[in-house]
Amino acid sequence: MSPREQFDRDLNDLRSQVLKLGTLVSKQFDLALQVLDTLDPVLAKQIIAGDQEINETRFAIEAFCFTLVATQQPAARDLRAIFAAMNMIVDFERMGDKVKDIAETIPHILKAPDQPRPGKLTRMANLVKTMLDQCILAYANSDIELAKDLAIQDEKLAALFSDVLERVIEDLAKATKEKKVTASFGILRTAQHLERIGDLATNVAERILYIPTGDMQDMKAHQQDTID
Amino acid sequence: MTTKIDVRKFNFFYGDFQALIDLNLTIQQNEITALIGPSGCGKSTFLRCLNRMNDTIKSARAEGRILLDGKNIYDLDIDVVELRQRVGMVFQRPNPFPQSIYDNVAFGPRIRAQQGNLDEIVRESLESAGLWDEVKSRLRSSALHLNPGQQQRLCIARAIAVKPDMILMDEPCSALDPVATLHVEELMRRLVKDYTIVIVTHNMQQAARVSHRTGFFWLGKLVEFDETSRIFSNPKEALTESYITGRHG
Repeated sequence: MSPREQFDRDLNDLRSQVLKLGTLVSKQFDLALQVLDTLDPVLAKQIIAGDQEINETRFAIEAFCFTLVATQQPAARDLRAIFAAMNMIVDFERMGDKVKDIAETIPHILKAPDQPRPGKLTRMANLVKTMLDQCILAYANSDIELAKDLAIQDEKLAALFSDVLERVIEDLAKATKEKKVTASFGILRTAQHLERIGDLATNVAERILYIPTGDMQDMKAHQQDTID
Repeated sequence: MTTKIDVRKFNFFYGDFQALIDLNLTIQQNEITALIGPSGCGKSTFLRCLNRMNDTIKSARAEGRILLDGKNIYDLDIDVVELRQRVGMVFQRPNPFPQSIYDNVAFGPRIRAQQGNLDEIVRESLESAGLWDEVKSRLRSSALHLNPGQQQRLCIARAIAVKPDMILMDEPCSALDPVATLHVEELMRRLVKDYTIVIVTHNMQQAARVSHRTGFFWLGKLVEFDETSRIFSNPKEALTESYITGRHG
């Protein structure tokens, strides 16, 4: 019998709870993909309401982490696992906020629903979904290589964002009606939120690397600051 | 940083049993060094080697060198009495003599015919041990009337009354309640400005709280020795990690 069987169970439980939170965010993001396609205002409201569960789950996990630190005197890898979890849940919760923000752009985009949207916006959204699921999988399997790969995905996302930004600026320059300006602004905001979710997924990957190594690395160090 | 103790290829035997195996480490002056490890791992044996208290054990034998300020304490010309004055010891259980508080502190300076005003030495020692305000009005009453935490601080005052360079502490808080423990830890932080302290403890949180460097012993070997923050956040050795996270030992 391990002298820390209960604590080991608690740490496994913590990992499961963090994965549950990540999965909630991923499901919300699936809805965001749908709403960007359909511009369905009812679905947009459903996404906004769904953020509450993500917030509650995050606070419940934070309380659990606090209890573990207060009662178990964790050290070394155990301590890193708990602190990493505490950081990751904040990142996942912010991703949830960004998904909600995307849903909130729908009324703006609906001002001019026929205005063509940049094709690369959809590519951005699909890439972000891949990154989100990739960081969840990397955490579930403690897969360092998969986590490291997120930095490469994030670079691709940054390039797509740059193209979308250029296209939206062109659209804005051409826009003659206020409704079109509002719609373009909605698209711009959506692209920014997607880019930020990618950033946060990369943050999660940094924590996945930190647990076994104890090294704090900024995987985005080589990139320019992004617009939030 | 100044090296106070330099341990080189040190081995220690009780008869045929080798209790310490090829130890190499340096203890820095004006730092608190914690020694941790499971019972029987050699940490207390090592502590007692630092002022040759193991000499009294007939079958005990040391090999290698322990340099105190550059001089090997196992050299033949070493005066062991003087060594123990320079390297004082505080034990697991408070062990005041059945005498007054004053006489406990004055004991060492008296037998050494130490220079200076004895009243001042007693006062300074009790002040350094953070006990003066609690006992100044009853210096002539029995030390045995003090509570365990006060008794342990009295023993620390007794140790520093002979003006040592180093203080060795062998689980000094294991018989104390949590508040008395924190008093002693705070005292250690103050004393380390003037002394070099080595503490053996089973309480890993204590080692983490109070020490600058930590050594982890296992079966007579020093598995890892590093800055305390490193040992408790990201040790290099899997065995250290296993021990400090409570999964081994």
